[in-house]
This record gives sequence, structure tokens and C-alpha cells, in this order.
Amino acid sequence: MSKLSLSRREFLKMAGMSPLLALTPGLANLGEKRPPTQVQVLNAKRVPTICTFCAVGCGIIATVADGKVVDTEGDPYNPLNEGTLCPKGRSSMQLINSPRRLTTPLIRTNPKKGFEEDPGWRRITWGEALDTIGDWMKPAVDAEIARLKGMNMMSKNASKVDEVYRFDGHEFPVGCIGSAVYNNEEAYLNRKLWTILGSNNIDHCARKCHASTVAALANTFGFGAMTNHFLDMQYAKVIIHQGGNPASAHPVAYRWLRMAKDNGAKVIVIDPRFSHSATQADIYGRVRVGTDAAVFNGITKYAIDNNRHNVDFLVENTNAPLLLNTSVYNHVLYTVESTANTDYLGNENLFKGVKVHAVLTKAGQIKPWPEVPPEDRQLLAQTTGPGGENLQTVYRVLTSVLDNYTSEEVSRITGLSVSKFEEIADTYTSTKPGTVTYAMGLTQHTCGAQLLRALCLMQLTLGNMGVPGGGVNAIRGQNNVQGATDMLVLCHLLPGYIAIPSSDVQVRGYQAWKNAGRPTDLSRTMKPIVDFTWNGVDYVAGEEYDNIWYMDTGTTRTNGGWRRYEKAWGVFIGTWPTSDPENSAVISDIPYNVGHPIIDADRAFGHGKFKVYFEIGDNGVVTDGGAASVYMEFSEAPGKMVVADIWDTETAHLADLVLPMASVYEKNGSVSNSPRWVQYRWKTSDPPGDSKSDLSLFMKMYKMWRQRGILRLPSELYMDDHPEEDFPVDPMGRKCMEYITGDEIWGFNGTLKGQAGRPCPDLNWEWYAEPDIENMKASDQVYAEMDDAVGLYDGQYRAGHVGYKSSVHAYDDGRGEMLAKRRSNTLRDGIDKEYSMMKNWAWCWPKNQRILYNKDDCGENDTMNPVTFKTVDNKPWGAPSGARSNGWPYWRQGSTFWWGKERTGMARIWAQDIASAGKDTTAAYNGWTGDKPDVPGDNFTGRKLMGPEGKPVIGIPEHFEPMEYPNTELAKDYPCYGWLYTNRDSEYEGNDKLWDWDKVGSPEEGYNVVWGSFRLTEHFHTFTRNMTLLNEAQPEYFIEINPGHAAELGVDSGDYVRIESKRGWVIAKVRATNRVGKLKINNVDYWEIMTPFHFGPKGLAKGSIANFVSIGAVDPHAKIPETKACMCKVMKATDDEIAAIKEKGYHQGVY
Amino acid sequence: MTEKMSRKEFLKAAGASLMVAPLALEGLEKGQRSPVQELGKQKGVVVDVRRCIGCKACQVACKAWNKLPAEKTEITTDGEYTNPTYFSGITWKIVHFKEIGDYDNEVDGTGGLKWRMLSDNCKHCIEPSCVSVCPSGALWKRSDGPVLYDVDRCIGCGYCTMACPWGVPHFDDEIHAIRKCTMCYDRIDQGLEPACVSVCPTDALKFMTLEEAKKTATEAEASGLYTYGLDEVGGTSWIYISDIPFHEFGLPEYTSVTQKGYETDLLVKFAGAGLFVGGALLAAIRLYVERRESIAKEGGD
Repeated sequence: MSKLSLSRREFLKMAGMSPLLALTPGLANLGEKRPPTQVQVLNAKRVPTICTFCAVGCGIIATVADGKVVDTEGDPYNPLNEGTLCPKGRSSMQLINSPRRLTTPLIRTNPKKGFEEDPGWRRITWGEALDTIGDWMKPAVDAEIARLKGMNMMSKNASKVDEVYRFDGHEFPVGCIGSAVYNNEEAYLNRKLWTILGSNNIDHCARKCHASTVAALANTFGFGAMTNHFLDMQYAKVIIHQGGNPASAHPVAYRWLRMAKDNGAKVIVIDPRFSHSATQADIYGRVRVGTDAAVFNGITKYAIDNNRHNVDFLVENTNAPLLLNTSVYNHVLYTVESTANTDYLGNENLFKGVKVHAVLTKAGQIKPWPEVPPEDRQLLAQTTGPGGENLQTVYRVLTSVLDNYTSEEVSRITGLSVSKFEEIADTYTSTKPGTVTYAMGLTQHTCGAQLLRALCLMQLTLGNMGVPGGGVNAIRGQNNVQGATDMLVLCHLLPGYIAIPSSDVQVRGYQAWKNAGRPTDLSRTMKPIVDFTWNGVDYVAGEEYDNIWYMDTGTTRTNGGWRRYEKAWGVFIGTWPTSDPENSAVISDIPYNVGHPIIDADRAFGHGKFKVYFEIGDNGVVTDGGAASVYMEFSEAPGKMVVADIWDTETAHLADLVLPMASVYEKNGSVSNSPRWVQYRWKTSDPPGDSKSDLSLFMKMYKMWRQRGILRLPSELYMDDHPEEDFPVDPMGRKCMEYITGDEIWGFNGTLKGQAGRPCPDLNWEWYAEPDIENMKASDQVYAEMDDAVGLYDGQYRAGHVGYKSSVHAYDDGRGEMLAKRRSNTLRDGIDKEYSMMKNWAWCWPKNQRILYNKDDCGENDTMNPVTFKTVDNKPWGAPSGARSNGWPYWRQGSTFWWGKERTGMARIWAQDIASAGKDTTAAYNGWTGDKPDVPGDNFTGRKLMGPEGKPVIGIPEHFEPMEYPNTELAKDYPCYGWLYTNRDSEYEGNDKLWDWDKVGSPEEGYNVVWGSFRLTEHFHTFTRNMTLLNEAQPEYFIEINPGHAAELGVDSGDYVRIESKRGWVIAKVRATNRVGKLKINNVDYWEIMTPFHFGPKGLAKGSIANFVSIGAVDPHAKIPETKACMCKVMKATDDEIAAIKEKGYHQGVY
Repeated sequence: MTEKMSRKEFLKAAGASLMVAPLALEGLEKGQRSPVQELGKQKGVVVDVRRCIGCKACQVACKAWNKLPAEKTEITTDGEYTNPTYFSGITWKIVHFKEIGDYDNEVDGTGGLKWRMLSDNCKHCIEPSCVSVCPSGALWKRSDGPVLYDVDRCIGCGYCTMACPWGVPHFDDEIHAIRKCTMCYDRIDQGLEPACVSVCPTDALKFMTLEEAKKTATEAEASGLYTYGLDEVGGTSWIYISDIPFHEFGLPEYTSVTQKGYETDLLVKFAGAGLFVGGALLAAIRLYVERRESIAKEGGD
């Protein structure tokens, strides 16, 4: 059609193209041959949602015309991003509308698995898919029950006391890797479903991401979460970005960091690579991967040497002034009984009669700490104890460990020059408040937990904790990894961070606690409240100090948590009959024992332990450290893998069954970002084709499992086995073990008001309104349930009925309110206004407290608790106020619950042992021996790590070399922490260990290029390579290599190289840049290369899988893989390799 | 042998030249298409390169808002992250990356290494060269700043691409006309900011009046920073501030002298008028000659 013959009307129709058109004559004609969506958008809706990518949690407004999302822009009302977005969030409509979205379930017809194999997908219906899953699961579950019966469990026994009905969560043959992308409600249901199935074999990518953060931070501060928040960063006066690149991975966070710079803050970037964040740096230092603990310890030492440490803070808020009893092997903090009637402030001594930790006074006495004013406490001291034992303060031990980390030693280890290190240390320690942001560069190491402890100690020593502009800002990755973590889609805890039962004794004790009336006494004398003897051993169900949110409920942590599940899930934990816990049958509908964490789970699946393995929104074959072995495990596993995802990913390619899922934009629900804000997203459009929400998937699976007898509770099995016994009966005539009545009923959401108890789990699942699964109602019902079942999320829902009884809910206004839905930017008077806490926007845990460990923030929470937190003065923490009476929000001392021992609510400079439950690291205390096979006869004594009496000083963190290190001499001084792990053998048959020594390369074998990985701004994990606008910006896989190094290899930008480790190899295009380069380690020069990890054989933009080179060795505490540090060889690619990558778009292999 | 020309045919023959002149006259009459505007009313954008974190949200937002498709790209041989690397009919915004220096452990600050990104698009010149040279008047500068265009009027001559100091306007094969950044006039008209400005997380791009923009840039220059757009080719609406010289991004040095666009424009209009007059004259001469010939044939005088 000739342009000249366009009518004026048609001309206008083609003009402009954007949603907010008001078409007026005289506008430009910019040309638009594509369908005129602007005509549709005149009727468009604007729906607020939250971005699906990173954990900043930016608000997005989707413009929806005729049910289709035509644009996704920043939400101007969301205070996190104020209408701005990064390129990924901005191009979300490409994810929503992509023709490459999965739309039907698929089943494999080609039994051979591999990237070069065509799975031969056959389209099936959801019904067929669920039937198939049932066919696979039923025999596996039946076999497991038979196995337990063979061990005298799950069966009737003549002697009641020997009857045990419970699953083994570690052995259950069905595993699941859940997602960090789905909503909180779905995460919660995923965990709930697996738990009541009988399996603790459920984990998700938080394990390979911030598991070491949780281990380190929880054991130091109390919570394992990011302490401050993004808007708060503008108040920092000095910022360190280390092991993280927020400008690329969390670009909108840089809005607030940039604001800090505008306010005069200095930015320091410590990174192997000059990253996008370094463009904003005042100081940049190139550091070797995995050596950050040395940097932190060095800075801490520098602070103390220059008298810049915050003595008041250390005395008031940490265990620094406490005495260590070093003659006991596990270095117990010295305790004495507190006898005074008043504390040093003259207030009633709440610790009278209780053993508390002792401090050394200036006069050289040993006294209970509540009785000693701070000025009389000694920070540097050792003395002789009452029994003649040698006693040192924690602080003394800290300084003796830090002594090693001189500037020269830091330089020798890290590659920073002495002058560069001192420039950094001087700037950082002389400016307050200072904050540190970090991510995978610090967490993904075999020494991750220790490394992060070093960071925590630095911040405590400088007094940067609990203050606006300070904190340890562990920035999480995925949009709902925090939520999935809180819901414990993890193998070692239950939702809200509640312990998993591990012994019959615990269950019996729990029944005793229930029988005693579920005592909620919040006496600060910490008296034991239930004494219980079992098998001749005395146990004490002690009252314990808990996290802040539990202060007013008065329930003990674990017991309270289990009770919540009983009420919300319709399960039973206890003994039958209930009256005699000592002699009755033990029944637990919660399976015992920690399950398999993610890397281990992949191996378990690979070796046939899991008969069915679900991967929900996870792409392990690309993103796992040591992905080369994951590829083998997934390709050769005898069991069946079910992948649920929105795209056909690399992992989906290796699955037996693929389920098409809705993206978060097609669902409503709550989502928790990195600083714990629980926001709400509204559904923008329907999921494409036959794809479904995860909520729908879990509902359908529950139903199918019940119908086919796959899911049977141990309590149900018990009742079936004992028809002769009398059980309570619910109004529907169903037998149950406990009929919960009275004030324990939670009639949340009004739906089941009046329906007492939860005797049967079906009731739970049925009341998620099935027809409304894809719409608002079902998800919101789960939200309300989470509010009750998950202690940590208590207070995220304000119940609306008058007279509703609960100690934690507001009940004044007759309105049901989901606090996550709040969209107010109004700041409250006081600390909110002063520090932009946004307390009226959405909700935050715990109890809407935005800055953790800040007294004033504690006091201004939303839930109108009976106990309000008072502060003496209104200053942010950091200024000692001495408040000891009502309202002191004590920190938890750590995650290990010690029966009968006391808590003092202090941050732990000395953290005894951050091993997770059950791990035996006794060998560590008896001196280390190096047993790395290829260096026989050497004894790595780690001389630097020895404390008094020749015992390793674990309680204070040190630097540990990565599993693959560049310099053997240095590694002898700082042996790899992974070598400590006495249980190095995995439990599988054959020679398989958690890492194979065969697959660990040494410098003597020529692996002498330092390898590291990083994130691109334009891509998010493996999520975005079907989105053309992002592919345009970053089209191909590459490595960054120094031009000098490239010249040595005979390559330049645009050429190809081969990178190989002992585990695998990849071919990559070269980007020569000075932003990576040489490191001088122990006086020897090493090259480093850095690579993005987003690419794989699938999608529109393909590339080699970087992680085929990386190593999967894990941190013994946190089980996080050492994805971020290994050694490699680099060489020019051969012509054949170049031809292969040019043809396929990727080329990688496994050794 | 020529046939007698009908009236219709006459008009048709003269029609081609008719097309040009009225547009030119129309433009002058409306006043909107004059290249020189009152500064006070105009909008501008300040791009502070130092604030940019190279996220390319601006690049993506431009394509998202304007419904432009992605190009197929590949890693460039200079190793930089710039992608796409050229303006085209479907790429109106590109982000230039430039790394400068080498890292030295012993040097304070960033060790001598610098990496900067520049968000680049049509600069909406005060006196746009593209407007001046366009023979069909397809391009014009609106009174508040944006340099806009009408694809129907574009004849694809390519003069604007050549005349633009940065080669911004480009022919779009599908639309058969040049296309380029429009300063999101449609958003501005709704009280919004251009898509790239609105999306930028670090406020590296800031929307304001041209007067404020010039003031900001002048202050920056006084404090020792580099600027671009205060004087170049008579000044642009998009003004850049940087701590590295602009030639590092590939932006050429330009004097403040313009292409005398005003005069060129008039030249084009005179040419148009000239064509009309000339065309009419030729037609008249031809008619006369033919008439003379036919009279001669009929027997002549």
C-alpha cells in the first residue's frame, strides 16, 4: 500500500505505539507496521507485581490489555525502585509472552539422556502426568514402609513402649529440589507436602547460595539474614563491595548506594575483577578468589592496632569480655552463678540464681556479667580461675588470632599490595557507619561459614551492627530465595527455622510439655520448667531465650513450632496414649532426621537412592558448583526425574517428565526479598497454554498421593494398626489422635470458624478453594495459614474477627488484612522518618523490624504485642544505653540448643563451633593431619591456626585455602577447611565421596590459572536466554582474560580458548580486558580468568556451561559448594573445537 | 508525437512539484518546523557518565517502549560490552563501554583503571542538521525540543544519516523510512519522562528544562569535568558530563559552528519553490511549443 494513499485516520492509527497514548493531530509518525496494540491499551489495566529476577524486589507495573501483558515498567510507588528497573525486569513482558514457554506436560520417549540426544518428548495431559508420577512413587514409598517395618518401626508391637511410627526423612526415596522463584505460599506448601509425605529430602538453591551466610550470621548474631536493607544503604558513610557486584546483580540496589555516594560516602570494591560496581569505587583492590577472610581479619587487626575498635560496643553487646575456659576441649565460656539482688544499674537482677557468663573485672575478679558495669570489664586479659585454670577473655583470644594478619601476610595470601590493603583498611576503619555488601564471592567456598564469620567480627569490632547505614548486607539472589528459605524448603529445618525431630526422646519430651499445659512462662530466670527422665538420663525442657518475635508468645522455640504444625497441618507428634509419654508408643507425623542437601541430593539421585526426584524451578546442571558431575548424575540416574519449569531448560532436557509452570507474573502471592520485606504480587495474566501455578501442582499432587495411598501419615498407620483402641472422632466421624479445641483453634480467614481442630490433613488441603487456585483466594488462604503455622511470619496477617484470640495478632479493627499488600509510602514519626524504613510499605520479618538488632526498630512494630519493647534512650544501637530491663531484645546466642544451659543474648565474637547439628568435628580439636593423597607423608599442621595448648582455635575464624589452591607452600600454612570434615566419605557405595580426590587438581599438575565466575547485568541465572532484548545486549558466552595473558596464549578478543579443570572443560570466546590480571600470591605471579556462568546448550542464546570447570566440594557446616574458587588450565582452542562451538553455539565436556 | 494533454494530465505532470512546495510552505506557516527555537521552553536531558553502572536498562526500555525488535549481535572484537554497536532503524539507544588504563596494585584509588559507560541516542540538537538537509521536510524540531519525523514523508535519500554528526537517523527497511529516538515525545506529553530516563536506577539520566541542563553542564565544566553538547554543533538538548574525554566513547570533536542549517533550509525551500516555478514554466513552454507545432501542423500561420 502506497504511503501516499494513507488516509489521515490510518496515518494516526499507525502513529505512536505506547500505552499511555492520547492521540492528537500533528504527532510524529514514527512508523509501526506491527499490530496496533495501542488501540487495545486504551482499555488496559495496570497491575502491580514484583519482579521475578533478583532479590531487590522491585515493583513492576504490568500494562494488561485484553488479558495480554503489553509492557512491564517500574512501579513508581514502590519505594525500593521508585519506577526504575534494570534491563531484566524491564523486559519481563518478553518472558511472559515468549513463544518458547512450556505449555503442556511432556514425557520422554528416548531413554538415552544427554545434551546431544533428543528426548523425543511426547505431549501428555496433566492427568496423565500425575498418574505417571503416582506410578513411579507408589512402589518406592511402599518399599520404604516395608523397610521401616523390617526395622521394627511402623508396626504393632506387643510392648507399647517399643512402638515407633515415623518416617526417616533422610532415607525417604523421593527427593525434591524446590525453587527460589515461586511465591511464599507455594514454598510453604512444597515443604509442608514433602514433610507430611515423610521426606526431609527437600532442598533448594539457597543451599548453594547463602547457606554459609546463615551458618555464620545466625551463629554470630542470632538470625542468618541480611541485617539492614536497600534504602538504608544511603546512610552508610563507607561501603565495601566484596565477593559481590551489586551494580550487575542487583542494579536497583545501586540507586541507594549511589545516593550514599551523593551524601559523601566512599565506596571500596575488593574483587578479583574490576566489575560494574568498581566503576563507582573510590578504591579498588584486586584480590584472589576465596581469600577474603584474610582481608577481614586484616582490617579488624588494623582497627585494633589503630585504636579504632568500638570498645563500648564490644563490651555491651558481644561476648568479647567473657572468659574462656580453655582447659575444656570445647572452650566453654566460663559461667558462674549470679547471686546479687540487683544488677549494676540497680534494677532487679533477672539472672539471680542462674548461671551466667563471667567477665574479668579491672580488679582481676571473676564476676557474673550482669553485675559488672562495663567500665569495670576488661577487654584484654588473662587470669587464673577459681580452680587454678588459665582463663583468657574472648577478646584476648581474638587479638592473638588476628596477630597473624599483618598487612604483609594479608598481601601474601590475597594478592593485594601492602599499600593497597592499608589504603582500604585505613579508609574503612576511620569512617562510620560502614556497611559491607556481598554475595556469592564470599559464600561459595569450602570455608564459607568461617570466612563470613570473619566479616561479622570485623563489623562487630567496629560497632557497625544494629545501626542505620551499617550492617552485614548479605544480598540474596533470587526474587524469593529468602521466602523459600524462611519456609525451609531445606533439608535441615522446618518452616520458620524449627528443628526436625531426631530422637524418640525429643518426641516424648514434647508430649510431656503438651501435657504440662504448654507452659509459656517467660520468666527471665530461665528456670527449667519441665524435668524429664528418660532411660536414666535427665533431660530438661528448658525455657529459652528466643528471637525477638518469640518474646511475647512465650512458647519455646522447637516445641512451639511443632505445636503450630499440629494445629495448622492436622498432624500429630507425641505419644499414644498421650497421658504417659515415658511408656507409650512414639508417633511423629514429622519425619525424623535431616535430609540430603542439594549437592548431596544430586548424588543420591545419581546413585539410585531417590527413585523419584523433582526439580522445581532449578537448573542444577548449569548452576551447581561441579556441574560436570551433576550432568553425569542426571544423565545416568536409574530413578525418574520430574522437572517443573517455565522453559525447556538444560535440566529439563535431561528429565523424564516435564511439567509446564506459570511464571510469577501469572500468579498472585507474597514474596520475600533479600532484606526480609514480604511484598505482594497481583496476577497480571493467565499462564500460557496448559501451564499451571506451583500451588496448583502441589494441590493436585496431594490429592493424587492421597487417592493412591502414597501419602499416609504415621498416625493414620497407627490408628489402622490398632482398631481395638479408642481415638477421638471429629465432627465428620474421622478418627484422630488429638481433637484440638478451645483457644487453640485458629479460625483464620473465617473459613473454618467453629470447626474445631485439624484432625485430618485433608481438611487443610480441601479448604484451599480449588476452583480459585489460579486466582486470588487459594493463595491468600495459604498466606493466612502461614501466619499461624510459621512463627517467623507471625504478624504478617492481621486477623479481622472481633474476639479472635491470639497473643500475637492485632484484633482491634474487624478487618482481615494481609500486611504484605500494604502500599503506603508514608513514613511514621521517629526512626522511620529519620532512616527511611518504610514501615508502612508491605511487611517485614521479624514483626516489621527493618534493621535487625536495632533496639528502636524493635520497639515500633506492627502487631501490638502485650509486651512492648521499651528503650531507655531513643538512639540507634551503637550508643551504649545500658538498658537491661523490660524490652531488651536479646539476640539469640546461636542455633544450637543446649539443654539446661543459659543464653545471654550477646553477639558471639567467639562462636564455639558452627557445625550444624550432628556433625562430629572432634578430630579438629585433636590437631589436624593432612591426608591429601597426592602429597603423601606431609603433615599439614596449620601452624597458624593453633591456639593455646596446641588446639585449633575454631571459635575465631581464620583464612583457609580453597580446595584447589595455586600455591602449595601457602596451602600448608592455611589448610583447606574441607579437609577437616571427618565424614568426607559420602554414604554411597563405591569410591564416591563428597568430593573425589581424583577430581581435585594441584598446582604440580599444571592447574595454575585462578578461575572465578561472575554475573552479567543483562542475564539472570539461566532464566533469560529466551528474551531477545537481553540476548541482544549479551549474546554469547565468553571469558575475561588479561591482554597479556591472551597474548601469551596467542589469542585476542573474538578468538576462542579452552579452559579445563580436572572435572570438565569448556570452549569460550575471549574478551581481553585489563579488568582481570595478575595476582602475586606468596611472591609468585598467577594469572586469573573470570567467566559468566549463565550460558548453556538450550535457549536462543546458547553457550558453554561454565560450571563444568568448577568444583563441587562443600563447606562441612553449610554444605555449600565451592563454586567460586578453583584452578584451571587455559589454552588456545583447536580448529575442531572452534568449528564445534561455531556450529552448535556451545562446546563443553566432562572428564 | 505528443497527444493533446488533457487538463488532468497537466495537473498530474505538475503534480510532482506540487507535492514539494506546499509542504515547505506549510512548514514555514506552522512555525513548528523552524530549526531555531526559543531556549526557555525547551526540554533537555543531562547524562552523567560517572553515575552510570552500565546496566543497559535504558537500551532495553527504549526498545520496550517503542516496540522495537532486538538485533542479532555478537561479541565485538574490541572486547567491550557495547551491544548493539550502531544506531539503526530499530536501535535508537546504545550504551558505549570504554575501559581506560591498566590496574596497578601500587597505585591508590582504583589503581589507574577506569571503566565508563555512555548512554547514547539522538541528541535533539538545537539546530538539527538532519532537519536542515531533509529535502522532503520529513524531519522537524518541535518547539519543546524533540526532533521528530514523519515516515510518510521520508523519501529514503539518506541525507540525514550523512548529515548527522553521529549518524543517528537510520533507514528501517521494513517501514521504508528513517527512524530514531523521539525523546519519547508521547511520554513527555503525558507528563512522564523519556523511557530511558525513567528506568535508570542511578539517575544517570535526568530530565529537566534545557536551561537547567545547560546550567548543570556549565557548572560541571567549571569544576573540571568534560562536557558534550553545550556548544557542539550549536548545542544539543542532551548534554553529557564525564570524567573521561568523549572521544574515548567514539564521539567526535565538533566545533560550535553549525551547518548553517537555517540557510540550507531556506535553500531547500527555495529549491522547492524553484522547482515549482521551473516546473510550471517548463509546462507552460511545452504547452506553448506544442500548441505552436500543432498550429503549424494544422496549416500554420
